[in-house]
Formats: sequence, structure tokens, C-alpha cells
Amino acid sequence: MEDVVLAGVGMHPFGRYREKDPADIALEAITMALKDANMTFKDIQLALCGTVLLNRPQLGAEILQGVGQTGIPIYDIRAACATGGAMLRLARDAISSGSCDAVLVFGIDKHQGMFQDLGEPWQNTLGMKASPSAFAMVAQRYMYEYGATEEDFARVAVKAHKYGRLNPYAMFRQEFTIEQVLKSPYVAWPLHLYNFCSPDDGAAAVVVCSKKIARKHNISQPVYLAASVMATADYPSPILEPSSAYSITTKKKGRPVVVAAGEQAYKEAGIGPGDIEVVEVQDTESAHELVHIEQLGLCRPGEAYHLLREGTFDITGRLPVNPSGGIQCKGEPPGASGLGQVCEIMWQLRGQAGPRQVNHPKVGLSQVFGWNHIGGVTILKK
Amino acid sequence: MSKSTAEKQVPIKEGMIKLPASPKEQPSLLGSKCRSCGETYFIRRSRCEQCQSGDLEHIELSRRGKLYSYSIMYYPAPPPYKPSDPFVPYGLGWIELPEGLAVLSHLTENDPDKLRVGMEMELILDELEKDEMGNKVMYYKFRPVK
Repeated sequence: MEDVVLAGVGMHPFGRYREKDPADIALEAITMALKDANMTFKDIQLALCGTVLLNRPQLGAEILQGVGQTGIPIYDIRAACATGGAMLRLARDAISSGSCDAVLVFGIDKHQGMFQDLGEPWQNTLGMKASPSAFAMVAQRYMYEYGATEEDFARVAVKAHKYGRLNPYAMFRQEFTIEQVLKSPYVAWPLHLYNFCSPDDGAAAVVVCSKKIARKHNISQPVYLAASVMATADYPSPILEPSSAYSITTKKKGRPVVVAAGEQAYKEAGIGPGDIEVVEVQDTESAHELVHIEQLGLCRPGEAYHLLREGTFDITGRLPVNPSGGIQCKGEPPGASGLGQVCEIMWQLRGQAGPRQVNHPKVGLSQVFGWNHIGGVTILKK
Repeated sequence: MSKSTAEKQVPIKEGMIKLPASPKEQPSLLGSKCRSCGETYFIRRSRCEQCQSGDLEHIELSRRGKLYSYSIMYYPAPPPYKPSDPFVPYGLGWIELPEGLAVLSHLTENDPDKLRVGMEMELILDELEKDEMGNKVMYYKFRPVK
């Protein structure tokens, strides 16, 4: 599956922009992506707008008035933290089915408060589904099963900030020590404040097109969409996967949704995990960076925290993970964060990542995970 | 808990807990079991999520289970949760029950050093608040078995 080309990417730096309208934030990313693709909005035949937290009807149509009205279909897409992956899959299907040749995909969000409360009304009244606790219970179980410690999770945050510091699109650009992370207050034991991503504002955009259009617009460094997979919960679901569930079967052991999406993506791309040379995983908090690396088959279960200690996931290591600093540094505007990962992989594959550039990667992977068992894996190839 | 026993108790959600009719009785969690595929659920329901059968029997779940995983919330959840003043961190965990399911629950314990995976836990009820009728709104928690 290499008939779909990622022609251009653009990002508005993630951060806090209280005075700035979401449309203006999105337009910066869109303009950058169109320019990167040597295209104008007139070349686009379909647009997808991802948002999770903004409640503006037909937000995509409103935003695109700012780049000219051409009469194309525009859809708003919502898939929690996996929104970017969902849109890319839809764009790919539109192109590979032959229904159109060029799609503009963009995500935009503005943060609306620290925690998301994501259960049924009675659960929310009891404070049982504030998102940090669901992620922290996975972290606790990871410690129990594999012997990882809070210090290992702190080490993930330290690595993230080592590279996030070098990323002009990141919100937090300072380094931390392990001690500083461990001294930051607990949010949900065993995870500290500096282990978590912070909700913030931002936008990212990607132009996806057919090979024919890529040639027409002289895309000099084409990157191909080798796989794009979205998956939802299978039965049985794992007990701990963050979701609104309060009752889950234990009669059979469930397969995490990221495992399912990853396996399907490798198959689609005709490669294995060993062929991946740079990765952006969903690091909602430090523990899930490790969990997702393992769920993607990039190492054995329980091995990731050892490899982290050895430097394997550094930008100079065998398998650089989250050279962007991840959302631990960029912050998370959920409608845009998945495409933010794709921007980073594109820049890495094209050698445009500046001081955080990894060594000549040809194949990269982006992985998202959303509340209620939504997993997405995208594989890009030079 | 309030000293008065005259006030009526009501569950926070219908079909969730069996309230003891007398002080001698033990509370339990209510559930359903699918007669068609055998799936068990916490909180009564009329349709099986897995096989879509409408043939379910009411069951009471075991009062004891094992702690599968846990966390302590150090920040209050957003509204409608009403934190105590001052806020006291609270424990949450998944409890594995012998009926073949795990249930998400508040824990009585908020010290992670006093919790461990696999420990025996037992059900208790607690009062959340009084509703507008003056009834005690009850919910469930699990506590470590001494």
C-alpha cells in the first residue's frame, strides 16, 4: 500500500494561546502544510477537520473560509486522542479508492481544563473516571508485573524533556532531573505531575495525495503512507485499558487495542517491528510511553524500561522514541496531537528535524491511543 | 456515617447495590448473567452486550474479591464530584470477583503502602450525601480484609 503520498505538513506550536481564535491557530498550520506540498487550497478536493474539545458546529467549514471557498466537502472528525490517526485513515481510503486525489487533513484544539471526567454520571459524581487515575492504574500494574519503579517513569519524562527542549513546536522546553520529576506532586499515584502531558492549544495539518498529484506538484522528497490502521475494542477488553468501563470480563485475557492496530499495520506495510527506525508513541503520561513501545512489538513485554536505561530510545540510540519530546513536552490538544506526531515523523524522514534529527531513518511509525479503546497506527516510508 | 437509622437509604444508581434490610444483613453488588453466553455484568441490565440476548438472570456478586490494580487520586476530579474540604486523596482500584469479572471501585485505603496486588478485599457501603428528599445516597467501596 504505497499509492498514497504525504505531500506536506504544518504545525502551529502547541502551547497556551488564550487570546488567539482557534481558526487563526488552525490556519497557520494549514498554510504551512499547503506551502510544504507546493499546493494551494484550490488543489484540495476533500478536507477533514479534527477536534475533540471545541464545540463549534461545522468548525472545519468555518476555518476553511479563511483559505477561500471552493465548494469541496469538509467533515469534522472526533476520535478522542486518536483523532489524527482516524483522519489519516479516512484520507487514505478516499485516495486509494480513487474518489479524490488530494486531501487536506487538519486538527485543532484549545484546552478546557486539567482533567477530563469520562464516565457515566454516577461515576463522575463519585470521581471515579477522572482520566489520570485510569492511566495510573496501568502504571501500577506495569510496576507490579515487571519491576519498574517510579524512577523509571521519571526517566521517561527526563528523556522527553531532553529532546522537547530542542523542539520549537513544544510547550515545555526545559530539562528536568529524575529528582525534580519525583519531587513534583503526585497527580494519581504512582504518577507525578511531570509524568503527565498537559492539555493545551495547537494545530497540525497534513496534505495527503495520490502519486500522480505528487508528481504534478514536484514533491521533491515524497513520503509514502505505508499503513494506516484504526482499531477499537475487541472482546474481551483488557481490564486496565483506559475507558469508561466499570465492569469487565476476566474469563479470557483481552488483547490491547494498540497491539491489534500495530499487528495489522505491519501486515499492511509488509514489514515487521524490527524495520522501524523512528517512533512517535502516545505518551499521555510516562508509563504509557513504555507500555505502547511494548504493545507495538518494538521490544518484549517488560523490556522497555531496561532499554530506556540503556539509551536505546535516545535520538542517538538504536530506536529513537519521541524525538519531538512527545506530548509530555508539546502538551496535548487532542484534535491535533496525532497529526503532530506525523509532522515529526515527516521531518525526521526528510532530515528536517534540526538538532533533534535522528540518523537517516527511512521508516517511521506514529501511534495514537484514545479513551474507550481506540488505537491508531500509521507507518510512513521514504 | 450518620447515627440516624430512620432515614431511607437509596443507591446512587438503580440496580447497582442491594441495601441491607436490617443491620444483620450484608450488602452486595447486583449484576446480571446471560443465560445464553454466560457473560456476567456488574449492575443489572436487560440485554447482553456480547451476544445481544435478552435472556439474563439477576445475580448477586460475591462480597469478596482480589485487588487487581490501584491508584490514589491526589487531585480532586472535576464536578459533579464534590471534594471534601480539605480534600483527602482517595484510592481507586479494580477488584476481581469470582464470578469472572472485575469491578472498578473506590477503596477505603488511600496509602499505597497498605495496598498490594492480589490482596483480599471486601465490599462495604458508604453514604455519599443526602438527596433533596433527605434520603441517604449510598455507594460501594472495597476495603482490605484484616
